[in-house]
Amino acid sequence: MADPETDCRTVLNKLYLYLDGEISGEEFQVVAVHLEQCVSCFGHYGSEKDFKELIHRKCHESAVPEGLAERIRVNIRRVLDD
Amino acid sequence: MSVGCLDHVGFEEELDVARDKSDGKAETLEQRQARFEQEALPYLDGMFGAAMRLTRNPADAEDLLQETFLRAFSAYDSFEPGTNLKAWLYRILMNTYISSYRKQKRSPQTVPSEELGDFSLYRQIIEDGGRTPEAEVLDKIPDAEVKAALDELPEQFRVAVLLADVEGFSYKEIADITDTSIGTVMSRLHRGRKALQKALWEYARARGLVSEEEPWRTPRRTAGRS
Repeated sequence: MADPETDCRTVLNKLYLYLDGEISGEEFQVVAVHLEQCVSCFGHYGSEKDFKELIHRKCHESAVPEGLAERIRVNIRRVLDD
Repeated sequence: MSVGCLDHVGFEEELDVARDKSDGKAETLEQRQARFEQEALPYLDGMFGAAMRLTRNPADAEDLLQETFLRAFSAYDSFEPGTNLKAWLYRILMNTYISSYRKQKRSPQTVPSEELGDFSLYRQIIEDGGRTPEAEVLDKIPDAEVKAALDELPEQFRVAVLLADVEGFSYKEIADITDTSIGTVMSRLHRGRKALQKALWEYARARGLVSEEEPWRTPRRTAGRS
């Protein structure tokens, strides 16, 4: 049986890696199982996960200026013609 | 070939490109242009957002993108088909920004690490797998304010958060795009996220979205200090 203190520290150190999809296999499983069992770590995880999603949602720029793609095309053609 | 491409590329031209690829002959400039417009230009939508966060205004973002796509086009024959085109384009975006745009602006800011409190440590627990209460608070902050807070981060942190959280790149891709190590990416991302959380909580408190009487909404390390 692993020392629970070490477990929490290990898991918190890997929280971003877990959240960002940077670990897999057994390493991923260790974190996933711990998060199911540890209310404290799960709380940290929830905060960070929500924050990441919030930044993605709120900072995503959907409105590309009208005609920008065409202006880029024209610019490239102009260079080609030179 | 999809029908949508016919909007801006002649059908004959497309066929030529296809033939050309199949027998491995060198393509003409026109063929390369057609291939570039078809393959690379669709990434413009995502890249505009990144250019906005780098330059912080639409006119400069457009200039940056014009130059980025010109550079990308002129280097397109060196791009290896089948490899990561999106990351390749973002790398050119970053290099263009650094070499021709940023030098006119203020020098990169740095932030002493001790100024960044640990703001991840909000204690309220989600019981049912729903969003945390702090997420509900931060969600009330208008998009423009969240973008402004991101724009205010020191550049290296801003770029790390932008590429990871807004654009969804992996650590390895970010390391390639910004020409640094994965360890550095992780460190910048960590500090960038903490700084952004701190800024947004300060905004939330200033606007009365949180009250000081609610202890769980105060970062643990700073709670009780005054």
